Amino acid sequence: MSASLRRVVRLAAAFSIAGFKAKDQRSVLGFLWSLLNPLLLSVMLFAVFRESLGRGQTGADYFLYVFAGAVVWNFFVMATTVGSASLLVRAELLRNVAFPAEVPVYGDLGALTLQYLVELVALFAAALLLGARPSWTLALLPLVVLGQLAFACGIALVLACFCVVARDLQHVWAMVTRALFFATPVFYSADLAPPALRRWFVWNPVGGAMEATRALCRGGMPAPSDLVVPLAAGLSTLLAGWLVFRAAAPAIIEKA
Amino acid sequence: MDEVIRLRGVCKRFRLRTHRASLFGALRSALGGGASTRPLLALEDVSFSIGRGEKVGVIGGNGSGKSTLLRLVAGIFQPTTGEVAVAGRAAGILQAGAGMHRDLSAADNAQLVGALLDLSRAEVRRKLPEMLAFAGLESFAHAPLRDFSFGMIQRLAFSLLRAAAPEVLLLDELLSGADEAFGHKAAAELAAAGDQTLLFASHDLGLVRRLCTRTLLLQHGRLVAFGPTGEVLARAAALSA
Repeated sequence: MSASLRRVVRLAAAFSIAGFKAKDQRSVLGFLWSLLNPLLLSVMLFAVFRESLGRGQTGADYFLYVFAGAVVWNFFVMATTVGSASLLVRAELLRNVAFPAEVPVYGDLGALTLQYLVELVALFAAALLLGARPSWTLALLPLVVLGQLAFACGIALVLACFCVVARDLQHVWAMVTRALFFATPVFYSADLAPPALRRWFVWNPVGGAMEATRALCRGGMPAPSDLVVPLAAGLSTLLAGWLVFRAAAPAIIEKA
Repeated sequence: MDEVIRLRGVCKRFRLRTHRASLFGALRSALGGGASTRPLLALEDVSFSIGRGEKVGVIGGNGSGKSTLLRLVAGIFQPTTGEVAVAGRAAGILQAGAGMHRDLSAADNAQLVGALLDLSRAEVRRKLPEMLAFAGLESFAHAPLRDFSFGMIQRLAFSLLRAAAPEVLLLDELLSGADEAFGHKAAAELAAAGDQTLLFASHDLGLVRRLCTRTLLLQHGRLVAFGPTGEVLARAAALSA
């Protein structure tokens, strides 16, 4: 590993640890908020759609389906939204200390990944309680998380540098994620979507990661496309995001 | 004497926004209806060199280009034209508190800023008691930074820089909020660091006189004098009279 890459990794780790420690410092429930957010979304979606979209599944199965969807979706939205503001909120730091400008994005995503891992533990604990029996296929989970993290990081890198120039992009991204929420099988099964749309679902990396996580929760083997598409899309998005960021970085620091 | 910092014909130009960002303004600029920014020449044709171990002051009025100069030497900004060469590791905290987190303790902030200054976690852990003792903050190790005064944050930042001991140290008014006793202690530390090259931007001309053997005087982005501190301070006084 080159010295500059080692420095980026060390700094990103320091930012991640600091961000994770600072996150809920002044709240009463503290760390529990990490779990409450996806849990409350799951309970809400379960209560509203159980009768219509959860037909044909037991209550426990549908709750687990929605909980897994909410946890995976929550990570994607949080990572891209927080990542998009990473440079804006550290403008002072960027203008006063020399360090690679992409580090705050990696640091914020690192802190969110730590939180996500806790949420995944809660999800798999819930799966056990609800009668699911995870198997050796759980060993594939790091691959699924890696694909999600890389995909979110690639998007966050691009958003972070353009948000410095035009903050409007944060509003645009909020609208995009709202639309994507309904285009991703968070609370409904992909089988319920119109056939014309269904064939596009396989190319949705967040949806793929969601399906893979659900399969792993139940102890099953994810469909190959649910493993390969999120990982390939994630790594290529990360590479593209990194290239865009490196090209824009010198101008960004002066505009921050 | 080895040359540690060298600037040759350095210009730095920024684009300043001429009016508030708006959709109308963006559309007007896109359609060629007038630029929404104007150029600002922060530094113009600046050349000088500094040898190893020299303590050099940077003085000038507000907006004269002092902070821009330090940011160029730190590698935060790139020159628009010209060349900036620095031999060795240049580090500084050009604004006390930059990089620190208000909700984290002094010990956690030491880890965060220590990483920015290239100190490993183990080094920070090992040096932390001495750092806090130097800053007079031993009893504040686990207090959140939001309970610190500005002067306490400056003391912590200075102690971290002292522990990192970069070959080229860049300070921008770092000691302005600290009390007199700490100012004297810090100045003595800086003067005693024989091999360390110091570039110190300040409005505190007394401190510059005490600490720096040579001084740069900037005015409207131009280097108008560079020489022995006494002579440059006299020139600055003559210019402002």
